[in-house]
Amino acid sequence: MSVTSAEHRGQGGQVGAGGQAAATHRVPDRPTDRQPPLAVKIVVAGGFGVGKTTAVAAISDIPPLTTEAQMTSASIGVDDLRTGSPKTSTTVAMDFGCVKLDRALKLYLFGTPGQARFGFMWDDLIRGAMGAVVIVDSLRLDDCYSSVDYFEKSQLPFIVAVNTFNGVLSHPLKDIRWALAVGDDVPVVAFDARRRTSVRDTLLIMLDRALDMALNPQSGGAHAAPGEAAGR
Amino acid sequence: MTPDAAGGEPPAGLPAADDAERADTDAASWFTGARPVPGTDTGPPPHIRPYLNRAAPVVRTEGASLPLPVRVRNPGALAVPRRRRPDEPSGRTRALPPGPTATPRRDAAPPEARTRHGAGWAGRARDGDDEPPPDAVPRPFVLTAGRVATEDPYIGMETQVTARSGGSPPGDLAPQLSAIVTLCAEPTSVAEISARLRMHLGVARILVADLHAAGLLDVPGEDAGKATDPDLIMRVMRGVRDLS
Repeated sequence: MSVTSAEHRGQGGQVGAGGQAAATHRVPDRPTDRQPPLAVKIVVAGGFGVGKTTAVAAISDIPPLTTEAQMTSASIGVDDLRTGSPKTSTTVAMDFGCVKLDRALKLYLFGTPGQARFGFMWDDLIRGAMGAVVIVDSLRLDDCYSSVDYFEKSQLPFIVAVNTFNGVLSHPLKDIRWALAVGDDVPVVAFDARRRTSVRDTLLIMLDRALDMALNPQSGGAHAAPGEAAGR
Repeated sequence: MTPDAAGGEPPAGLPAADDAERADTDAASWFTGARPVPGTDTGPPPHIRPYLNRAAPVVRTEGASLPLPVRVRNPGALAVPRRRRPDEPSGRTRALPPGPTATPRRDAAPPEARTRHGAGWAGRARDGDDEPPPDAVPRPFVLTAGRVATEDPYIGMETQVTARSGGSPPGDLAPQLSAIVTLCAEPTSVAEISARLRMHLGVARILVADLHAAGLLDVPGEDAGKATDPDLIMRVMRGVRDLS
């Protein structure tokens, strides 16, 4: 689409005059305009090396990209013993992927930074998200406890997904559910992060949980998931 | 069925996508962990044996090549402690408090301390330093002239950004800004801008906001799509369900 310079300046003037209006409402006399696709976000959380990036890669249209954010250690309260100063900067990285669901809808999957102690920045990460999947390695269950703590306190729909290796669960889901001490309404499922169909099914369970919570905001869900099975 | 990334057929125990009815049954039982997966190695791997309750025998069924997952009779035999819920009365909580501060375990510096000393510089700094330390590198937000907040619509990492002029930036634009406008000829998320142009997420966000204020980029409004809208959730479910 082409825009004449006069039109361009006019748009600039409109915006400068204090409108979000020009951006939030498409100007009707631009016939070549079309709405950008809608973007929704799902957070993939879990401890270090549990399979977040693998899961994102399995479902993403493109190989996962990495975005980096700069954090000062003072803001996260970590004492850097090497320099003896709390004021050094550090970079946290998040892998993410994108699935085009239809012509006008894109789903982004953002992996949380691997280090659990950067939990504070997750407020920004989960803002506007549709839900979260907390991936768990059943051999290192306590790696995910801080993630589960965080999502329980947040209002975000979330599920726990136990990554299986070669299709084998090392503990029954019932015992994993007991160890995680999550409510009966939080689905706990097993999946294989390497397999696209398995990750897809896990996302569907999370979306079902999100729908449940959206339709029943007061109770936080119409019914508890029966045992550890998927809701249906 | 998409082929396994490692090559070959998927394991027999997993549901086949082209048989929807059978897949539902298989998926449900597979998710509960009750279904043995044939064709894999027998016996629990050595590294999880410490987690097993020694009193629980390995159960084998006739004809199966794999024992059922070993039932850990006493959940307390799991070698990890049960997660302590934040509302349980006890000495220590594992929960992260809300807000941008660290957990109670750590010595969190008060927010004012961040800006008092050498806030624009990364690298070693000591109390009372006004000069940047010798090994300092300007922090990314210095490039954005110290702006950290905007009055624009919320710009999230997934927010779709589109260039107004179809991706041709004005000639007098700084290289970084020009690169953003060019990249956004097609709708692009702020995270993708950050990743592809190799800039920090916070910087990308602020530059997008500046370009939006200058009329060069379009950013959707707040009413573009609420993640708690049931219709949107169902639309996403339909799209995800149709992925193969």
